[in-house]
Amino acid sequence: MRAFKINKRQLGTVLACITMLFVLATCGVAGETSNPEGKITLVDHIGRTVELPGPAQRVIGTHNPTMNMVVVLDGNGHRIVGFGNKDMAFGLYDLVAPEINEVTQIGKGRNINMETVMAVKPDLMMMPARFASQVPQFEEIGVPCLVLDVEKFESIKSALTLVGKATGQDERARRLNDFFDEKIKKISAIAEKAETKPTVLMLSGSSMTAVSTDAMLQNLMIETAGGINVTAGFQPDELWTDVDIEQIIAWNPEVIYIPVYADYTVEDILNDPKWSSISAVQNRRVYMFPSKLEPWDYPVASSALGLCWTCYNLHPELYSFEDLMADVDEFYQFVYGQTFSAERLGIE
Amino acid sequence: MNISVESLGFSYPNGKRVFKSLTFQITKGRVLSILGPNGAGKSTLLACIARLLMPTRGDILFDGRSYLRMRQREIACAVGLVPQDIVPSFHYSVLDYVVTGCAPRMGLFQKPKAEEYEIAWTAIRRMRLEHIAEQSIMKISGGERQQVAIARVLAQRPSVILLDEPTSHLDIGNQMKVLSMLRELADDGYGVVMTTHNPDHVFLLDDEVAVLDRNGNLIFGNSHDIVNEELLSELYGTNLRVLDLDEIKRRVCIAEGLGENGQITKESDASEEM
Amino acid sequence: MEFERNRRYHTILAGLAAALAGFCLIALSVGRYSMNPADVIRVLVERITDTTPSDYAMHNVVFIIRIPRIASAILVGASLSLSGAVYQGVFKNPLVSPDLLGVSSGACVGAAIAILGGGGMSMIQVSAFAMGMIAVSISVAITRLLRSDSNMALVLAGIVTSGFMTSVLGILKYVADPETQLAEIVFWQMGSVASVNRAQMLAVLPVFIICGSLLLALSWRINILSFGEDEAKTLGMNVPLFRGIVIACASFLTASAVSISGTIGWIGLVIPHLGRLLTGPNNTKLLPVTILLGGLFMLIVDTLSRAAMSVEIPLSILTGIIGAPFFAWLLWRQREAVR
Repeated sequence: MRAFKINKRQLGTVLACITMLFVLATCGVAGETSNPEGKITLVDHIGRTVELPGPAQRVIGTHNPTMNMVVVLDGNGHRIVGFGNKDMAFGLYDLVAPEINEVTQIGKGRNINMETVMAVKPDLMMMPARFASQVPQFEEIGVPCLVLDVEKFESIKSALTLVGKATGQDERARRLNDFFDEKIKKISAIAEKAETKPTVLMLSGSSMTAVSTDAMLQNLMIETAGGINVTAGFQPDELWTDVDIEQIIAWNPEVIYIPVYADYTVEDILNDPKWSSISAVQNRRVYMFPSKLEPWDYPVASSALGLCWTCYNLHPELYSFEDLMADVDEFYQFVYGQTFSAERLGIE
Repeated sequence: MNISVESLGFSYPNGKRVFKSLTFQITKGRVLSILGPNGAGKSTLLACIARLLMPTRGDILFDGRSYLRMRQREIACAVGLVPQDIVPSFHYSVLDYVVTGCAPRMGLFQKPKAEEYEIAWTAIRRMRLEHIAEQSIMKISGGERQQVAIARVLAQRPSVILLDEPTSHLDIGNQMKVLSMLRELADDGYGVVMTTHNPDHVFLLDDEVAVLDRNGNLIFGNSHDIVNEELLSELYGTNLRVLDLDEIKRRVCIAEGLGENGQITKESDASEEM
Repeated sequence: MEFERNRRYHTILAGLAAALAGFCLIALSVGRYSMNPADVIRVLVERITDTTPSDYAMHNVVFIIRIPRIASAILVGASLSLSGAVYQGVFKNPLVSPDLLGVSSGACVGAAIAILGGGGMSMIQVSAFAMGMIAVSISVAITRLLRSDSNMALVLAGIVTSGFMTSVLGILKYVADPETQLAEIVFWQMGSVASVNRAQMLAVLPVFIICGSLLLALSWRINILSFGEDEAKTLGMNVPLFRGIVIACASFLTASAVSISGTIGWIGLVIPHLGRLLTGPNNTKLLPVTILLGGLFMLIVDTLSRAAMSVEIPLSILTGIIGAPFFAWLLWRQREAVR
């Protein structure tokens, strides 16, 4: 009987075809398996396109508010492999992310040690906009930079979204932003109902006579929470602005806030004879802006809590201490899985 | 006030000795010329007399009192030094400059009053400088400046006036004026001491002379007696002649001529260097 | 003639005093907290008659903020000018300034040390003063080393000390934290009386009174010094002692002024020249006039600095902008002398 006798040549051809098909199939499969989540493409705050092969696992930074985004989205500091300077860390980190204390210091501001940077093999650098001129240095050594310009609520939320995308924490970023929006809405509503809105002045950390301006988060918080900024319209394009003590006396604010990171204390202001005629000093309405664990007036996620506290401080009859602590606990529980007492946070 | 220089010696801190042991007197009413070549130590001697420099040995007796332990102020009341130049840096008026002469007799915190200004004016008038009394000392001529310096010393009302090379930058006319002035001052009663290297001045003044040579030796006496050709030739290391000009009754000193390097032909002293 | 001269001098003195008083009133009315001269007078009268202030804020502004600042400005201007005039006399050189012996550079180092150590205003003041005087002592010690008493030796020693202090300051600036401390050091160096408080000002007031009075009392003798050390000696003065006292007083004055205001240049150099234009170089007349002129000038400059713009310009910048061209004009006026 004449069977299909496949000669050697035909067999070779068939085998070759099968092999080719197999290779093609494998390639396709391999393509998929080698990019499980796909490349990440972002546009940062100065319009740069940043491409990451995958979620960043080894993040470095020198600027606290931007680094804080990472900590908040992870609930810890494990992703951070290089941080500017030990004394920049918030006291809070000792409690929720002590690993940050062990992280390599890579330098601060203009004194970044590029060799140390290379040694920690980072895959993402979080950079504040004002140091954007250093981006080429990092690109040279192949470290992608995400440049963030955070000041007010919108930019904070946008930064959270971007960092969430960059680290694969999109879901958490979304939930944090929702929390933000909800609080802003709630506080704004309360502020609407307030009968009187006190005049408020916020001072800088380094100088008692440098004040916050409309360009800054602090003024926005005060206004949203139902206060009137004495510096409204004053130097709206500058950040912390030095003024003459006489100007402060002329403004005569009813409430004064000083940051938790100030070089001076509330007592210094209350006891300084130059300030004695100011309404806020006479009525002892000079407060340290919380919190002792991390500054709520920094452009970070917890600035939502700063907003809440301001409302409590200005309108306690409409938003009580218990209301405040409930929101505070909700935030910290979600972010770090812990809560902190009012005393610890420095809330009276 | 009689001032008597006794065995005065001065050496620089590095050991170089200027003069060893000088003895002479300064007498009121007389003009003493200290004559010597460049570098003999004439200015140094004057500085010692005013105690700007402290002598390394010997003493000077002011009316018998040792001056070594006197206060600078006391010395200033007795001795006035007219410097070779005054180089002012500010436009003080002549009057303001002259009135500083009253300082030795004033209290530390005292300022000059009418009395002091009167003394200053007297000195200015004596030197016939009234016409420039209000002018700046930086703007007057060199000759006028020197007269102003003398006026300042007159305001000090010392017993002795020392002048360091008072004729050095002056033309012959002004030189004569200055020398006449010195004569007048001596006649007024001051003891006048001036340094010079010009033997003619000594002859003109015709008074006491102290000759100081390069080795720090001094001969003291009347110019008439001790200043002669040998002395002068030896002093200056060149052939000099002293001539009496009977017509004008003047004694003068002139060089013999331009010899070879001006050395003394009589005895070539190997140690003499030009 | 003496009488006429004195009369002219007394007129100048009275005129300057009146100008100073008048400008004080203007300066008291100027500031961010708006007030007119009538308000100021009312506040002052209330204080004198011990009545309760009608406007507490205004009262505070005048007595706690403006008066200390105005007094400090006058004090600083007067001190620097007086010591400048004295230095010029002692060193027989009208081109000399109070920084000659290194007081200012030393004071900068002192301030920088205090700032790096985290000290407050008083600490900075004390440190600046101490270091300023140490710098002068170093200059004097160098002259002892050179075994020379002369002015030239002092000038050279001052150059050495200033140079050394400037280098030390450079090191301190280099190790300073660029975001906080460095700015503070540089700002201090540029000069300001904005944050002087009453306590600081009262601390230097005795120095000013004692040293100033001493210098005024010795003013005629300073004339004699300015003719030359030898001349002064032949007039019976103990030159090393006298010169030492005068330089010490002037240095104390300079160090005190710099300790509260930071370094301010040109005033010590230019104001005495202006004074000489008015009264001539006789120190008995020049020194009082210099004090008034210096105080008035500094007051005007400081008032301009805080009133003219929303951002205060540091004092040494203003004194430089005004002082340098003015000095050029003065030199042009005396051009024959300079040639």
